[in-house]
Amino acid sequence: MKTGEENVPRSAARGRRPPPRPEAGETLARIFRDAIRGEILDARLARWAREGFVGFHLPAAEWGGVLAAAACALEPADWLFPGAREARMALWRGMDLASFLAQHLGAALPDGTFLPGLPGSIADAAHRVASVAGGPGAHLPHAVGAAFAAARRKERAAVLAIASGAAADTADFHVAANFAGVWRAPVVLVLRAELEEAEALCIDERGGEYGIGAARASGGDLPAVRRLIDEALARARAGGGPTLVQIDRPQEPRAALDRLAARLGDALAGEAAVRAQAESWCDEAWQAARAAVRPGRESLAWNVYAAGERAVAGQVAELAQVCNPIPEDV
Amino acid sequence: MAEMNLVQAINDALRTEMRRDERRVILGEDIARFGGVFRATAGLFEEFGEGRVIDTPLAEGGIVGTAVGMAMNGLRPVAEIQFADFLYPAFDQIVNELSKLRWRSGGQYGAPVVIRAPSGGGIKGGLYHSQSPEAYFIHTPGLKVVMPSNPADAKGLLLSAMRGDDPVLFFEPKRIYRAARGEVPEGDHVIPLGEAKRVLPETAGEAVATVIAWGAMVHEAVEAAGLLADKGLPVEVIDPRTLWPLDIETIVESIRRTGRGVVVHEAPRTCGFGAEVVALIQERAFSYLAAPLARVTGLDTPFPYALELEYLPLAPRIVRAVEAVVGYPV
Repeated sequence: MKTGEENVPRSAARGRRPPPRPEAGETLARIFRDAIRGEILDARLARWAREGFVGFHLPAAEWGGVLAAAACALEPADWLFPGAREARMALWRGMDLASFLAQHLGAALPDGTFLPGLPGSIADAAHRVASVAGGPGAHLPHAVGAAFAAARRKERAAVLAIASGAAADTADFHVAANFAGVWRAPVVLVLRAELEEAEALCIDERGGEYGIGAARASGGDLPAVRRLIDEALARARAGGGPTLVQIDRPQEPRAALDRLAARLGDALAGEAAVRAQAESWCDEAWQAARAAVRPGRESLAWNVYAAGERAVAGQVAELAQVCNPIPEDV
Repeated sequence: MAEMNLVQAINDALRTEMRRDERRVILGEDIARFGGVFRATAGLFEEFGEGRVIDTPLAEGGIVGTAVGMAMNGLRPVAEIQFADFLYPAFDQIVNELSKLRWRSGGQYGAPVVIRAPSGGGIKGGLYHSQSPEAYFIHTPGLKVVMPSNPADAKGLLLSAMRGDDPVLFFEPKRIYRAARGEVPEGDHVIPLGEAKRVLPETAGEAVATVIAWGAMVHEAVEAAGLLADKGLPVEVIDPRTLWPLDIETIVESIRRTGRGVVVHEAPRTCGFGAEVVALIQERAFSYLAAPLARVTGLDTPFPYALELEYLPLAPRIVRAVEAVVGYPV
């Protein structure tokens, strides 16, 4: 199977392919910047997990450039359904890092939102980022449903869902692709294929089985990743239906960034400056997150139901009688 | 008022709400052109069209999963699962996704999805078309669980479920889909969730025991009450209607007067919802009890095709249980 932009999705062959948009240096610089930010954030989260500040961290260092490139293809009206390892894409959609880190610390976000699930289980409705789901592919049917809703309202919006290649083994992936194909939902389902699974995924055959377009790109070619997803999203917005996308893990992630930097040339202020900015970004956000409010035991009953529920409130009230200590800090 | 059977009342509720709210969609297997396996959605496709009455692939996980996404993006889905037994393929999407979405997203996303499912036995459906799985879902924080016993309640409770902001499992006792008939108010007829109903007598009397039953078993309890009255043993019959949140106050108020209670349900006994009802009663009314609380339930076996009437907790078993608690030596 071919990889990259020469692999034209089936739906594109139906004559609805929009003209490719030029990749402005600004777009590529953004991918480079967000990839570096992701790399530094990954290292910080791993350290904070080792130090006990964060419960655990699911790294995605090798995928940093791909996630940045994929996020770059989204428009504001689009939706993003990330898996656990792709949650950082919310940052590239506009989520504030201090909020992101506060969530990792079990604290409330600055606006009072409290996401008590697990570290990295973020949601950001303001930027149309869905709540991170449980299983590796559990969010994929949700993405199809959200796409159906957008299409029913005739919105010019598409949905991007991204998951690990392992998700392709799940029933959730199957039903998502099946329903997307039947409904011609404006959704792009992206699978990140690890090296050992890249050929086994057989994305083109899978797309054929579900009657939807399929395309594949190498994660080592970040402009091609962005272009492929950008085209799939544009096609979805235009009513061209769903696309299944496979992105292969870059064999040498650093080389992919070097190629991007070389292409950017003078348009890039220099990697050292980008890294310094990213370090400051993390430092400032970390300080703000550490100062965030940690809700008390009453928060255990928040948002279980839309309007509260007597039994839940009663159970939480019982806790006050035994006074388990709530640590002031972690 | 119009006389309807239970399935007609369900249909009336769906039609009433779809006329009222453009966001309302219904989806499921064969629910559109065919009108549903029990005809609960008959005629809705013709009135509201394929954009709102949606036939799906044969995949319950996909039905619930896509309904979650639809709800996240502004629609108000009602998903029909052909038989409550078929909820199990969607179990992960219900228990890990639908029920937890509001909580894990800090209230940013709700999942106002109603899942309708015909439940219970007595139609010669055998082990995969007769189960009563309500306890699994009552055990899941974030879900509400409803089971009506008559057409008027079915309409009123379903309208209330659809207009709420929480996910609701709406179990329809299929044994009485057509056997239960009664006057049903036309138009808006909303019964709030969480309010039990004293079925017998209409005013509190000198009853010797309280029988708590839901779904089709309410009719068995009423039949048993008639037999017991003939023996000089009047009982009160309470139908919780909403299993969760449970109106325990109404039940306890009755128990405090009668001093004896019998809980009836079709589901297997062990860890059935009857166990929880018994626990809640004894926590609140222990000193009022003149006899141990009793359960009359299905057996801890798979639901049988052969001998299904032996399995079901029909009136003779209820009579026997009431006589036992009344005869308990003080």
